[in-house]
This record gives sequence, C-alpha cells and structure tokens, in this order.
Amino acid sequence: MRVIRMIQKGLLTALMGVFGLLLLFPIVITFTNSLMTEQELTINYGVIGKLTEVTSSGAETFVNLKWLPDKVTLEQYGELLVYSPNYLLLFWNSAGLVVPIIIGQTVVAALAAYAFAKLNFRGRDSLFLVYLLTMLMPFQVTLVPNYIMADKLGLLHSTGAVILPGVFAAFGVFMLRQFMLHIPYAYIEAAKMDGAGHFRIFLTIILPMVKSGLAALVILLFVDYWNMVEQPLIFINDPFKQPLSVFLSRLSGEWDTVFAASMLYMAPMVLLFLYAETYFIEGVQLSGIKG
Amino acid sequence: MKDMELSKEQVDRKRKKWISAVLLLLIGLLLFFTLFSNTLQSVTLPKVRAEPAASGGVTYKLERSGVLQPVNQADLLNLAGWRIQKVLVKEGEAVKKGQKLVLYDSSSAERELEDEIAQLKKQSIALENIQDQFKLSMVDGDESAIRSVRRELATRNIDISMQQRKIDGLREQLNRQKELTAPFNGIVMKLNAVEGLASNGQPDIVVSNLDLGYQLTFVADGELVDRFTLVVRQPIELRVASEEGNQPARSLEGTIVEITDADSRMVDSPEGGAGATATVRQKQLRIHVADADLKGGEQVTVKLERASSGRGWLVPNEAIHREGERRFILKVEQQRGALGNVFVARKVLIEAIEATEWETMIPADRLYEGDLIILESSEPLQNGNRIRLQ
Repeated sequence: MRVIRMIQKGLLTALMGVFGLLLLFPIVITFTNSLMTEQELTINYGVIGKLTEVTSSGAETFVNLKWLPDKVTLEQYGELLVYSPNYLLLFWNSAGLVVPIIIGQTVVAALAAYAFAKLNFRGRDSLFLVYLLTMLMPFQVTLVPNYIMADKLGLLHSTGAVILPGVFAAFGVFMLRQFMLHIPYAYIEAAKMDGAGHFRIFLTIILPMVKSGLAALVILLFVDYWNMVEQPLIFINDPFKQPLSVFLSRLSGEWDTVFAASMLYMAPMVLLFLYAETYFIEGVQLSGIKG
Repeated sequence: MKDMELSKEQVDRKRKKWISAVLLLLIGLLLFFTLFSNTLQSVTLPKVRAEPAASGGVTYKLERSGVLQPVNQADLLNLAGWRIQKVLVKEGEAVKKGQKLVLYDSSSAERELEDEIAQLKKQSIALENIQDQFKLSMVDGDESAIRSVRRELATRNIDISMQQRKIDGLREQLNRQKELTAPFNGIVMKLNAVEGLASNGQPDIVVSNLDLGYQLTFVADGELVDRFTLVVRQPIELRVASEEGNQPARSLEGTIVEITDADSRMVDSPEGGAGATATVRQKQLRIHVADADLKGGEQVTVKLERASSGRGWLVPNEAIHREGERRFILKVEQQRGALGNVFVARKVLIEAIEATEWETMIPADRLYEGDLIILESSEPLQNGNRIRLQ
C-alpha cells in the first residue's frame, strides 16, 4: 500500500515537473535568446515572415529553435535602451495607461463592492446582476458601443478612451464583493454600535480585511491591462501614444530587439507577481476565482 | 509552530525587500535610459553631414590668370662698365627706335683717346727724324746704312698706321658706348640704371618689343582643354584686371598660339584614402595678344564656361568613395521601424558620366528626389551603419 502511494506520488511529481517545464519553456527561451547577437537571431529565425517565399520556392525550412547563444551579448538591450528611445517611450505609455486604471478601478471597485456586499437597498441584487452581465460579455461585443461613446465624449484618440472603461469595469467590483461577503456582518454592527459611519467602517474595518483581495485584484488588473492590445489599438491611433503591448504585437522581422523587448516587457509583471505572490494566492483561494 | 510562522514571515519580508529593490532598480534604469538615451546615442553613433543631391548638368569652368609678358624683349647693358651719367627714361615709358636711353660718363675713355692721339703725334715726329736720316744716307751713298734706314722707315710707318687704327677703334667705342639707344619701338620694362653708379652686371635697361605684342602662358588640365576643344589659332577672350580698381575691367582678344604637354599634376585622390594620389594630365597654353594700349605686366584672366549636354545628379567629389575599381556614394536611408525612423548609411554604386574638379554627374536613376548624400562622417562608414544626422 505504501509502495503504491509512493509510486503515485513520484508519478505525479514527474508529471507536474514536465508541465512546469513546458510552462517555463517560452520564458527561458526568450531570456536566452535575448542574449544572442542579431546575426545569430537572423540565422535562426529569419525564415519567419518569409514563409510565403519559402513555400513558393518549395524548399522546406524550419525555425531553428536554439537554447543557448553562441556568443552572450547585451547588444539587444543596448540597442533597445540606447538607440531606440521610442521603446522606452512606449514603456512609459503602458505605465501611463495601467497605473491610472489600477488605481481608479481599485478605488471604485472597493467602494462599489462595499455597497453591494454590506448595504441594503432596493434593487441591489438586480443591479449587481446587470454589473455581472457586462463582465460576462466579451470585450469585442462592447467594443462598438464603447467606440461610439468615446467619440461622443470627445475622448477618441486619447488615453482617456482606454482608461475610463478600465476604471469602471465590473471585474473588480465582482471580485471584491466576493471577499467582503466573507466578512461577518457582526464586525460592522459592532462598529456601528461604537458610532462609526459607513466611511469609517469601510476604511478601518473592511479594507484591512480584504488586503489580500486587493493585492490579487491589483495583480490581475496589471496583467490584464499591461497585456491589452485591442483597446489601445482601436482607440489610440498615434503609434507613439500606444502602449508596449501593441508594439510587441507588431514586432516581426526585427530580430535585433524582439527578445530583449519581450524580457523588459515581462519584467514588471514578474516582479510584481513575486512581490505580492502570497497575497495573490491567498486572495484567489479565498474568493474562489481563478485568474 | 509560532516560531516557524515568525521566521517564515521574516523570510517573506526579506524576499519582498529584495524584489522591491529589483523593481525599483528596473524602473530607475528605464527612467535613466529614457532621459539619457539621446545623449548616449550622440556619443556612440557616427555623426554625418549630408546634403540633398542637386539635379542638373555640370558646368565646366576654366579660370586661369597670369601676367602678360612681352613676346620679345632686349636686355641692354653697358659692357664697358662706365659710370652712368644720366638716365633719360623712366620705367614703363614708351620709346621710339633709336631714342637715347642712358648716357655714360666717358671721360676716362676720352682721356685715353687723347693719349693715343698724342702718341700718334710723337710717332709722326719720330718718323720725320727717320726721313731726315734717310736723306742724309742717300747723300753719303753708304749702301748698308741706306738699307738699315729704309727698314726703320717701314717699321715706323706700320706703327703709325697701327696707332691710327687703335685711335679709330677707341673713337668708335666711345661713340657707341657713351649712350644706350632703343633698338626698336617698345616700352621700358625694367630700369636698373642708377645715375652716378656703374652697372652692377645686370642689364641697365630692359626694353620690350612693342611690335611683336604680348603673351600669356598658363597650365590647365588636359581633359578640360579637350572639353573646351581649344586648338591653336583659336581666338580666346581675356579680361584685364584694372590696376587701381577705378577703371572698369577691359576685355581683350587673344589667340592661342601654342598648346604643349606639361608635367602631370599629382592630386590626392579623395576616393583612395590617405596617401593615395592620382596623376592628372596637364597642358600648357600660350596665348598671344596684340594691343596698342598694353604695357606688359598686366594681370589678365581667362574665363571659360560651358554646360554639359547631359543631365543627372550632381554629387560633390568629396562624397565619392572608391572601392577597388568601383566607385560609390553613401546616401542617407530612412528605415521605418516600429520604434520610429532610423537613419542608415546606404551604399549607391555610381559611374560618373561627367566630372569637373569639384563635382561629378551621375545617372539620374541612381537617386531619388530629396535623397541626402553623405559628405562627411565622424567615423568611416559601412553599408548599413546607423548614423546620426548633424
């Protein structure tokens, strides 16, 4: 019996190891390739983007996926950081979109979630249902109305057209409400007895209790909006005002920087996740939401 | 259990510290490069100076100036080395044939002449003595004495005629050398004679021959001479620069009288890099001018201009590089990237259709309107190098 359990455990570990490696593989490849020279990258990946030519000539050529660079160099990073000031501009563009959205949505969502979870008013649950519906609809469905609205508000081709829908998205409300539902009503009653108003209750009692939820929300929002492509692509037409995500989606054939650009693009996300990892896992577990 | 939790919390806090430090470092790094990448770029990228190519044809220009020299001139000098008594002309003065130019102090020669005349007189008197002796001998009838006196007489006669010739020679020399006269109609080009001094070995006066006119010689690149189809006996226009600037420049008609090969010129070839030289075939031209108002020594300029028949892009010669037998220029190419435009040096192979000393015409299909040609760069450039426009 013990042997069978041990074998089971071993098998599971091996399986998880394999999956873990599979998940890590793209990141590792990106990192090692970011240290390659442009020539090496062109030799290995030059065939991408020329696939039509290759097929028309009949010759079969494959991308040569390489683990380790022949020559380790920081050329790509230098090229990116020194010779492409626009890359950094786009990086700050991304930050300029993501930071207001996260702050805005967290504030709005926390207040709204408090109302939905702990206040009793007429039509509360039906209103929440409507909220949920907007979240359940895919982005593409609301795209056209959003576009028309942004146009009417005069926000088209400005960052506001991306930030405002982000700030008032329903996801944060939904997630934080789930957290707040877990908080026993007794806490609020006790505070009320001591003469605390709603705002005081919200700030001093509720918020500290949903700290892990807030952290999880911040990370999820960051990942979500750091990676958004369609919204800025549609609402912002100036390529120099668009965020990094749009730029990376357009990178093809520019082998000199593509991997380093991806590495720098990933870095804030990875660091943020590592920083708030414990809260995040806790928060996701508590709310019952999976990223 | 509680200890474990505590130490776990400590580890967690330490980890967070680390991560936040890395995050801050990353943000700081990106911020630094955002602010300073332009500065760093300017330090590392080669700086170039570029200009748009001009469209058109080349204009050949031949511009040479020189000083008009008389075709023929005479150096007049006094061989006797006498002191100069009087100078009758000034430099630049026009003189007629036979006109007296300089008078010399001939007193010593005159004294010598007088001495010689006195000597002749003495010899004549001595001759009379011999003649008297001869008569006496005839009377005596002494044969040997007569013969001796006759020989004496003949010797004296020879002496006298020698003396006479010497006097004639002296007189002639005196007449000839006590003054300098102009050998032809001309202009006093140079006056070395100073009153009161003897000649110093140089000609006292240099007189140009007005009747034969003036000439200008200059050297020009053979290719250019061919280009202008200059031939002997072809008229050519010359301009005389005004002397003080108050007279307007005058134009003269000259004639090419001679075209000869001159020594080749060595030039630094801009294409071949440092130390490389190329030889340029050269020709010497002699132009004859006849004009009554000329005095010689005028600064004249020959200016010829001719536009080429073909048209193309004009490229300054400094922009042309050479690689073996092939010639190329570097132009600025704008590469559109996802991160904005990048300037790159692009090699364009050319062949010169026509060229002058400073520019070359290349075929019109080599460049597009508005293309920038790199004239100068802070570092040697290769095809595809990234550059920074000045």
